[in-house]
Parts: sequence; structure tokens; C-alpha cells
Amino acid sequence: MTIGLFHYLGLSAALFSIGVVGVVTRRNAIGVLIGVELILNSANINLVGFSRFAGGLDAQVFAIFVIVLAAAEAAVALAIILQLFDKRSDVDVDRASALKG
Amino acid sequence: MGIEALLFWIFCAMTVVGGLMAVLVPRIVHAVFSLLLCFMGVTGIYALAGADFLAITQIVVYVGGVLVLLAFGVLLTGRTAEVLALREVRHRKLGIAIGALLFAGLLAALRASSFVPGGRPAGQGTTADIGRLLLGRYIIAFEFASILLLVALVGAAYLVRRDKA
Repeated sequence: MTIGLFHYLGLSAALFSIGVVGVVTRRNAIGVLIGVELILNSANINLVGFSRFAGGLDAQVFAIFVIVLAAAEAAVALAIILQLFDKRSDVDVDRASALKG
Repeated sequence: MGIEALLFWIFCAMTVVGGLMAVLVPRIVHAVFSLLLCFMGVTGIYALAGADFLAITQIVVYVGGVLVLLAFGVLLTGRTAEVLALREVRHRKLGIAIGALLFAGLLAALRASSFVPGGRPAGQGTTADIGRLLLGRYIIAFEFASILLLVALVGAAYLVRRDKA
């Protein structure tokens, strides 16, 4: 059995679903952030799979930009989480509802 | 089963098991360390697909940067009673059902679609070509990415500042 594009896309789909489970079930804000990182990694696996089986390096350049965005997002999100903890000594995403309409 | 398939399934298992543990274990510190297993698995997948530069970037940025940042986040949000109470998750069964449904739907969509494989010979380095693309065709996006990183850096430093004027 040879590994084809389908296997890469299937792994990516699995990792994406796992990340979504993390985002919807975690109450700790850092847990939600972990779920988002998993989702971004699954997107990158998709891009690398297409680069491997469709040829061309453009997909890999795109994956590099995704990694850059993920790093920036993690830094800003953690700053927000720390500020939330400073204000409320709590990182519960359900209870951070002060801006709710 | 060839060596490539064997390695693929090993890295696949690392990725999926690490991801599942990162999402399902109750303690957030354990989740961060499971994420390490997952990221190493993804790195292996990249290396297997011939994306050597991306594999190194994955280790440097994710394992060396994002994971350390997450570990600091866990450290700094302390062990107060409120944070410890967050070990329990909400709607676990519903969440897992949503994830399973999503996975089934995505797999069905993948099976229904057909991709025409072109193929690129693996085994030759990609770093030089990626460098040419980044500083050639994608130079605008590259510069915007550096501006974005600068803004994110300043923004993060501003957000955690204590003495707000």
C-alpha cells in the first residue's frame, strides 16, 4: 500500500476535527488556544500534502506564512489571557462575558 | 509495506495520539506536553513529504516558540482555585460527537473528490527554492508578514503592561 494524497488529507481532517473538539470543550482559555494551534497545523499538513503530490513549492511558502501567523496569534492571545487573569484571577472562557450584548 | 508507509503511519499515530491527549487530558500542563508529541509527529510528516525546510521551521517555531509560550502561560496563570476548577470540561460528549461527525463528513468529501496527482521528485532540498520564492514572487507578502510580527510583538508587550496611563 502506497501513501497517497488521500492519506495526508485524511490525517489533516483528523487533526482538524481533534482541534475543533478542543476549541468547543475546553473551558481554560489556554486549552482553547491549543485547539486553535492543532487546527492551524492540520491546514499546514494539507498544504504540504498538495505540495508533495501536485508539485511546486508555492504551497510550502503559504505554509510558512501560516506558521508566522500562528506564532503572532499565540503571542497576542497569551497576552490577552494574562491580562484576563490579572483582572479576574480566572481564565474561564465562559465567564469572560463582560462584552456580551 | 514499504519503509515510507511504515514511517507515515508511525508519524500519523504520534500526531493523532498527541492531539487527542492535548485535547482530552484534564490537566492543562499535560496537554501542553502532549502537544509536543503531536508537533514532532507533524514534523516527521513534513520531512517524509520532502518539505525539509518546513520541518526545521516547525521545530524552531512551534516547539521552540509556541510551546514555550504556552508553558509560560500555564505557569503565569497560576494555581488558583478558579483555574484548577477548569480541569473539568463542558459538554464533553457533545463536543466529541461534533468532532466525530466533522471527521466523517470530511472523509466522505475526500472520498468523493478526485485529485489528479502530478508528483514532484522527493529527496532534493527545498530551502534554496523557497528562499528564491520568498524574496521573489512573494516579496510583498514576506514584508507584510514582518510588519505583522512587529505589530504583534508591540501589541503583546502593550497588552501585558501593568501601569496603564
